[in-house]
Amino acid sequence: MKTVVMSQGLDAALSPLEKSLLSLFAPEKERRANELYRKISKKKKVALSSIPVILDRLYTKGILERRAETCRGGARYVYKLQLDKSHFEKSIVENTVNALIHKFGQSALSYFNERFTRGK
Amino acid sequence: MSALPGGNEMIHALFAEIANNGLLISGILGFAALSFIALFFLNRTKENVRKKLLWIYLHLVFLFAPLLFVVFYWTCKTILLNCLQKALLWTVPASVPITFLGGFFVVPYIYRKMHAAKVVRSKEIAAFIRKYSSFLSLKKAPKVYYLDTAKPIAHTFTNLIPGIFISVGMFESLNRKELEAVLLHELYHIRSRSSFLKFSTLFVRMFSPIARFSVTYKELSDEEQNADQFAVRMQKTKKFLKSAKKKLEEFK
Repeated sequence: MKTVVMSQGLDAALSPLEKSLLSLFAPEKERRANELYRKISKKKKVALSSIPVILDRLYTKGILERRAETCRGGARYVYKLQLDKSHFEKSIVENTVNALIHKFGQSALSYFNERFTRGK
Repeated sequence: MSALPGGNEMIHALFAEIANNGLLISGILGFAALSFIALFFLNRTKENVRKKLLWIYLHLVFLFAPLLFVVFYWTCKTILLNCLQKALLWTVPASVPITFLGGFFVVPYIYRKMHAAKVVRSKEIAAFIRKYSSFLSLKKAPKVYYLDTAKPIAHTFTNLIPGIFISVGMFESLNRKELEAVLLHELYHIRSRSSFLKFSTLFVRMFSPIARFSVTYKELSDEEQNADQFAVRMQKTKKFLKSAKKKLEEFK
């Protein structure tokens, strides 16, 4: 299966389970929560009810896009990778920076300040 | 033509006119007493939602009838008011039915549009709803709509067109039996017109200063328990409802 190449920045922004789920996506291919659960439960111990929560988080972070569809069980989301390159890059940068600030606090802020004051 | 009297003089003159009219005073006091009696019976009524709704609206009618009469009396009998003053006088009694109509018809419509609610096209769910709607003697089986949000939400509207609204997040989080427990819970709310009771409770607390202190939301929590008990009775176990609630708590 094709895997998504993840940058070091993306590693900092995502949890291990988020990264595992994201690795199951291929560009242009749509995925549903139950099929992702079937694949990921072979490698990791995870509850079915956790999958929609994590997918929603990835959607909120702008990494995935989704649409709702009606189905036998009622309704479900169909997810796929956010392919708008600028949108995808922006959300990766935003999540990475937020994760660094959350983790390192003042050190991260000081670094950014120095970095942008110095210029490229 | 002489100029109309100023605001304060006009108000004093109008109140003096009412105070001198014994019949009018008796009528106002009589209606006020009836509104208190309706509130008293509302607080005593348990279980029966239709009776509670009846007492709520009787309370409001008796409360606002004197106001309507006084406004009508002032605007028709007296020449002291100009058109604008008469129109302003009518805004208070007019706001009550306008708010009611807005809440009853417009809010559900806006809610549907805001959440882009769409009908669930599942034969299994439709068959389940038809079966229990017939059990509950509902005239028409309500439609089930899905809301485009991952947050687990389930509720009903029982205005003109009853409907059950369940979010995609809830459909994805629950298994079939847990979902059936939720649908049974919501069907009970449609049967007992709980959403109309909730709306009416909010409405009477908004417009009646007396009801603010005596009408509580206890009736609504009683309805929630009744709906839970119905789901448990139909499924013959608490297990599915309990696990559905647990999953919803975990999401929060």
